Amino acid sequence: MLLQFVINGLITGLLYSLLAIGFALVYNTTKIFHLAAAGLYVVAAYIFYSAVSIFHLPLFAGALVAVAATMGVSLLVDVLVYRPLSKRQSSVNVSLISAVGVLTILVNLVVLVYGNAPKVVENSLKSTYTFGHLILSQPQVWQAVIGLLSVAAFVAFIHYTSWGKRFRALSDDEVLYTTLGYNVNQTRTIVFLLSGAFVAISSCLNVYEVGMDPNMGMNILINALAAMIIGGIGRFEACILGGLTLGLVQSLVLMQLPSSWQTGVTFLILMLFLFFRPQGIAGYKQRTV
Amino acid sequence: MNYFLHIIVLLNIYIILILGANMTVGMAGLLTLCQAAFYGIGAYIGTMLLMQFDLPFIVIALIVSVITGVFSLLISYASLKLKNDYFTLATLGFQMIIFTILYNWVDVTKGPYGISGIPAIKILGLWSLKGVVPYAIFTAVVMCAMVGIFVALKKSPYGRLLRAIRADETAVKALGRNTSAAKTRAFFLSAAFSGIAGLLYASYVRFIDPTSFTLNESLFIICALFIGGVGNAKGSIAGALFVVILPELLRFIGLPDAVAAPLREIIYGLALVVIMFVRPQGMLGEEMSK
Amino acid sequence: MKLELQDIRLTFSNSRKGDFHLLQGVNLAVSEGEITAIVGGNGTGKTTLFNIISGFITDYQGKVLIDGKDIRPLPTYKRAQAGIGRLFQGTQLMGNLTLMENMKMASVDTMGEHPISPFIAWKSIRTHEYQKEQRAIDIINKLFGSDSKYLSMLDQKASALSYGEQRLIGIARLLMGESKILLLDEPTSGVNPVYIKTIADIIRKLVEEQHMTVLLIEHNMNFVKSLATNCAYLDNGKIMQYGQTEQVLNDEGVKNSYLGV
Repeated sequence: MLLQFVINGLITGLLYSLLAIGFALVYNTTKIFHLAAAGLYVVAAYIFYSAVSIFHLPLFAGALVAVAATMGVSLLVDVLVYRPLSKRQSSVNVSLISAVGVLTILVNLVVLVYGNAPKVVENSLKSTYTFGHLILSQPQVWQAVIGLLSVAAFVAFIHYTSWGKRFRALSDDEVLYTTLGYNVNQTRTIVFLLSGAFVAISSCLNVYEVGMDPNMGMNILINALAAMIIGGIGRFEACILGGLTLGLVQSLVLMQLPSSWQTGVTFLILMLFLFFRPQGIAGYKQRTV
Repeated sequence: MNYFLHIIVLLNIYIILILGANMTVGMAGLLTLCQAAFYGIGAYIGTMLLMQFDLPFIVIALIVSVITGVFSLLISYASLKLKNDYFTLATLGFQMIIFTILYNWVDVTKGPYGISGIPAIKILGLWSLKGVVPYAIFTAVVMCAMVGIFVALKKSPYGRLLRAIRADETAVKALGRNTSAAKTRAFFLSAAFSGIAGLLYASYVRFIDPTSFTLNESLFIICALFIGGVGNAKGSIAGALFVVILPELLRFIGLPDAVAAPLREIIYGLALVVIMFVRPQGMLGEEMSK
Repeated sequence: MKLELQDIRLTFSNSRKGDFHLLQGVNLAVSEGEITAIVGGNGTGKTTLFNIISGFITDYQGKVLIDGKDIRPLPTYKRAQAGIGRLFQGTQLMGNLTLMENMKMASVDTMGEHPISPFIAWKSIRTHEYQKEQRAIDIINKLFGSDSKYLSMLDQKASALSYGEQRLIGIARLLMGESKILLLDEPTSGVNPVYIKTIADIIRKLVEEQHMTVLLIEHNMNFVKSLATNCAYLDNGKIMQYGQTEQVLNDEGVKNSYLGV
């Protein structure tokens, strides 16, 4: 019984980690509090739904279409909104407010096209696998496998290419970054494409299991934000640690409390971290003076 | 006619709500995403008072202000420990926690079923406000009083202190000002404004449930504030006009609801983005930069 | 008022690179009614020391004594009220406030700065505001003369002033309060030579006429030589040299490691 909850929690946590990575890629490099990621999450879900349920593409192809399209929209958001605002050296609050605007636009475009009613990707009953006392549904297996592969690919990308360092350099000082001969726009393009991809992967894996509605984005994003804070802001790998921790704790809480308390509990944990360990589990205190 | 008056009531309530947000966001420069939580606390506390006791409006309004104000101390505490994004995130957390409590504490709030049959407001313990006409007048009076309070505060040395904190809190501390206390008071006032708006809303609609006090509502209030303009009362009034009148205009054009509702939201979103480009302080707002 | 630092230590822990000891036992007794300069290379902790004195950094070890009393429990604003004035590095004024409002913010008189006051004491607020205005005008008259352009600019946003002018007003503003000790962090940086002389004059006046104690961080050695009676050289987390300005600046060690001559 306990093992079942632990595994469920870790798999959910993996999905939080993916979304947190999508958010942190933007937040750590550009300082934009990228709430529009919640909108991208919804957009990805509905493209996936259209591809599979309306155009009858196979699941994998549908997911690929969704990921590619979301990457495009993500880049578009940067090029049309964030980038010009950065050029004007707008304040953090201004970019946050404009992110709220983008979020509202994306979500309501989806409502305009698909309506408010919940949708599922596939109506068929999904098979389950049994390992001893452990029962995993087919979507959960996909979540675990693709989630782990994506996370591994990301860690490898950050560690074994120069991009990891360049993202960090960009977040430290944009002007210096330009003077060193790097192209900020090019780097931002990579950041937003990658971010869109991770948001979309997380979205597709999740909605394949539980379905979707246009207002789900913000609720899931705040879990990812909590994961990012718990893990430690400023470090990409910490998102993974934070996501898994959060998923695990939520799952264990569900053993005791009805699920409607989940968000409250999540935010209680988040607040505890904010107040008592704002640098997160893996973070460290820096000289700020 | 009644329909028109109904819009007026909503407008008055939104002006008060947005002024509340303006206290912290506009005057003190602290972005909060929990205005709807205070709105909800005000509505629920107000409902309980209206249902339990036979008190005149002014007494209930005072009690509601104080109680929502006390809740704001949690936000104040967060603002002492956290800066910028972290603080905004904490207010978002507060919003989620309050919503979860309103939704789940069924014994007290009736949770998702909501509370119906909320009694009308009584003025001076004599008249019970019945129907939309008295409500339109009464909410207009309360709204004017709130605008008056806001303007008086803005012009006072307290308003100056808040603007100074917005520009450079460190310098203000070094000039011997207790900036934490000043911010705590701003949060308190902001919460009290929202609480009173909640009380008016609950007694006017006579039914409340937690879905009126969600994170989306908080975002909506912040949208309205930034579209209208931060830092002064006329911006808040303009913002309220925009968000309350626009849906009616769209309905007037004759769009079906399934199209009008998302379209309206898309227009809000676009307006917000465009305004961040053209005038980051909002249509009628005051320059926020240093 | 007497300011004394006893064995001030400050360490940053950084799990990656281990601990970093910025201040390793700073001792300094600042002479009353005189000007003391703190010199030292970049990153030696001069501003940090000021931040400890004004209470922005609280996790230091050692004691900051004012008239023999440890002020550790006092938060920044109380230290300011107790008489520690501070001029920060960089821009000084609050740009969204007018010059007059900037002056008023530096007054010790906080009448009206509580939200309830406009509703119960608006008359009294008016009188106090009037007094503050008079005082501000007096100060500007005294420092810059009655024909100064600042008198006509009082209702303009401070952001309308150039950086150098903002620093000038930033120093003038300190006179609105009742500070007894001034911590001036690079008062002349980014300021053109004409203003540097004005700033030096203002500081001198403060010490001579109001018997203020001044502690000053400066990289402009001519300014230090012309103004400061005493000089403390901060390096390796400690005061390595302390004495009369000429003496310290002529010391071989200081010359080699800091002045580079």
